[in-house]
Amino acid sequence: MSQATGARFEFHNLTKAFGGLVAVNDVTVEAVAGGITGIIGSNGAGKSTVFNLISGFYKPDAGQVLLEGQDLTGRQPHEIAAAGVGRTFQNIRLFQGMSVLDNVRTALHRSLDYNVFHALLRLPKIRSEEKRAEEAALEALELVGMLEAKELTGSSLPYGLQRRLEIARALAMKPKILLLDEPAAGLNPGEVADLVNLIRSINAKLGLTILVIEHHMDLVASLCQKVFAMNFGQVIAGGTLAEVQNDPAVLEAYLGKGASHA
Amino acid sequence: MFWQQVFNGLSAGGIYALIAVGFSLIYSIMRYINLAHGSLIMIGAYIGYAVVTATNFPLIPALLAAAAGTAIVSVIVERLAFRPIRVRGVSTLYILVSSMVVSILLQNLVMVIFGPSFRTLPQLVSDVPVVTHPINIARLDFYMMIVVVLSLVSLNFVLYRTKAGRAMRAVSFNPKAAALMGVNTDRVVSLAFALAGALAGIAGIFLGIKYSVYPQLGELILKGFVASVFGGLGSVAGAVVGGLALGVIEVFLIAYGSSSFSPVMIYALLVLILLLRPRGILGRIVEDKV
Repeated sequence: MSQATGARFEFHNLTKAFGGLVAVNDVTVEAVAGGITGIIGSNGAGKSTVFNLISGFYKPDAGQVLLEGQDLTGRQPHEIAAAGVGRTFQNIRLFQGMSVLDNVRTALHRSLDYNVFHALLRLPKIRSEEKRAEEAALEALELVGMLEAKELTGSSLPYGLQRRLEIARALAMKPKILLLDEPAAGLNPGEVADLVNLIRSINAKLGLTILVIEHHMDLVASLCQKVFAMNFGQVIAGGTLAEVQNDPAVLEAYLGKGASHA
Repeated sequence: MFWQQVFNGLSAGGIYALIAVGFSLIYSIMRYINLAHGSLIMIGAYIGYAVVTATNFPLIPALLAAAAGTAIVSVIVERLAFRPIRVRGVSTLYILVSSMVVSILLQNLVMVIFGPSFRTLPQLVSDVPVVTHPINIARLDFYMMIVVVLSLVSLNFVLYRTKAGRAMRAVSFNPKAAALMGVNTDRVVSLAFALAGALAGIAGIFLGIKYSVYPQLGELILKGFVASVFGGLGSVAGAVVGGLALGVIEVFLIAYGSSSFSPVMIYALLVLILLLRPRGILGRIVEDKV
């Protein structure tokens, strides 16, 4: 699974309003190519909305999303996925009744070169294509260490494994960038430690550009080279975690006015 | 006599199964009830009638024409009447109303073109039975069962052995995540409507051959509803079981009871199932959608 290492990914001046509420206001983020970039901020700061704008579930009112210089703004979710944007969800969205292997195989939908008519005529092509899909799916499952679970049903997996499966599914598409929406949400400390190792190994092995939204500061501290802090839909600081944590605007947002003078 | 009735029941039930499967397919993927499905059956019967009277096609080309034509109508109906509501993300209740309107519209359209009278298809299948002993198997029933089995096996193959089927199942569980996997959900929905339409078309032309063709033929969708509830709403396998069960029960009620009493019993049974086992016969697999 080698892909173009370290894709450049950035978005400029993204803005989205829902009625009178500006959920995302003029947000610009440049991800570390081949590295891990974090977006932090309290609930309702607009982090997930940013991801939904990137992956096409919402259309931005203004701004631009660029992957390797290619403009993805305003395209359909399946087109954006095909262009190389993989993502996971904060609240896990598996295909619950399908097997682990089928969950991952669905991600190879685009890369399979046959249609319904081939299938109904049972052409040999579909066998070879499906074989290829299975191999690619197994490769992705191996990356996240879930080969043994391939026959299990999605809904029967413990929470930690469901997260891993979501990541495997995203990786099977061989994305250029990976968006992780609160990957540690709902995990116990042991599972969080495993997840940190997994994300680090994926990043190292594939050289994949990763963008992660997270509350767990431990995870952010141990993974992210660069961090952006959001508050009320705006980016209020960007830099290393230490820089961001000491930024007066961040201190004010988290601890209240006057904290920075203390 | 007993086995003859079982055979007659399965023969009628096969058609109910086709209707119920198409209906369930849409329900399990889209989570809405397509009341226009009945009218698609009627459209299939009329396409068959028009094609056969105009060209004298034999059974198989006529079947293919009815299946393809109805599939196209089904896709167009989804495009024009359901998709605009779906993408706006409003309540599926609007789709229910829209499907009812489409149903009435199609019925009236056919009435304008062909008139309200009952029509019969030319005889496409010979009267000579396949066998007469130990039971009498009419040639039409025999062909019908073969076609029903072939259609259901093909559908199963598409759903469980191809990427399109996998995409359909994925959309039924989580449309958003499916889109993120690069699945074009609009296309998957169109394909589902095409498949459901093709099944409705096949059911329609057989009903037309066996009985007659008339604008209210679509009311048979009620049998499809009953069959899918019998089997477990939203389960394709359940729809097959429910359809066959309904056919057999109906034939036995008519043979050993009375034909006027049979519908009463069928609907009483439906109410009973809804009260005692609302998940249907195969209810435990309702979770395994599509």
